[in-house]
Amino acid sequence: MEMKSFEIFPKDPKKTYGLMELVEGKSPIVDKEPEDTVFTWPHLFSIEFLAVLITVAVLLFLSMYVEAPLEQVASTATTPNPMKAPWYFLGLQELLVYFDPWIAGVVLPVIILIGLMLIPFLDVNPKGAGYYTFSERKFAVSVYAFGMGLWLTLLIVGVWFRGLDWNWYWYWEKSYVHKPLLSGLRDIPVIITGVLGVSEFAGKAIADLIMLAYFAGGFIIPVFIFRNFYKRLGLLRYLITMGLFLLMVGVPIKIGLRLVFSIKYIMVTPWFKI
Amino acid sequence: MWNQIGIVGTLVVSISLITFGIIGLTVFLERLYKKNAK
Repeated sequence: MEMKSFEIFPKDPKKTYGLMELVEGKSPIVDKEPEDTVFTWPHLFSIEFLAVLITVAVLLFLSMYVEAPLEQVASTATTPNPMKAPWYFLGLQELLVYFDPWIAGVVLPVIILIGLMLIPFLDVNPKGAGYYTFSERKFAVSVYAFGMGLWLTLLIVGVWFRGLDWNWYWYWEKSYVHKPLLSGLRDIPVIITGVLGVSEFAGKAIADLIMLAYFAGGFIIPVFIFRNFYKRLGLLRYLITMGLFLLMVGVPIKIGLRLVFSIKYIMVTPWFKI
Repeated sequence: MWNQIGIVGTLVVSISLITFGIIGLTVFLERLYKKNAK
């Protein structure tokens, strides 16, 4: 019986050539490390499929034992008080307390949606793709987190803290007793007119200047403090980013002014009031 | 007065908790990621 040779280059008397030497050379796969990836199927799909099964099972059992919070059949004779939107719209409804309907219901949502759509075009930081990082994207993560905090807070207030007549009700207060309606809210132009003793027009003009100063300061001051930030973005991107940022920060400022100083409007014009 | 302080306090605490919660989670995941990459 012939012995099987396990030599790589077995000696063969019929061969008319031989391997003389191995030479180091270059080829397209030089320096390529072994791949440490695995196939999508079955490694990823099996995990995903398991996740789907568990999610469906949990939802199925939840829906069997937890009642959906449906109310009575709608009636044209009675309007519920308070009339609450679905929970995911309550942030928007809560904004109505602090802004005029068309600003809270149309302008702000449109700006938010356009702003979110613009993020990929405004973001010039290439880092953080495919992995979690805060240290390399401090501004982006912080701004996002703050916006999310603001939005979710409005939602939480709308869902759990608003009762009859959209008044603020604490958990321990009787939710069926009406509260006196808030009064004594004043506009900044009126306050300025009263305090400084100037004409109504001057009061309005000063209020407009305050608003102008907020945006002008917000646009100009960071250019000098965060020089690199401005340089990296370029003028147009910087203006859009800061415009959206200032509007976002302006929302809690407006909310705070109303709650702490009983201020209704900062700026009053014949066309809109903010 | 106390009612107003309570309302403003609730808003400030809620916004801060969520904001720093998200930042904290990102920092935690970043460290976890770096630890596993070693």
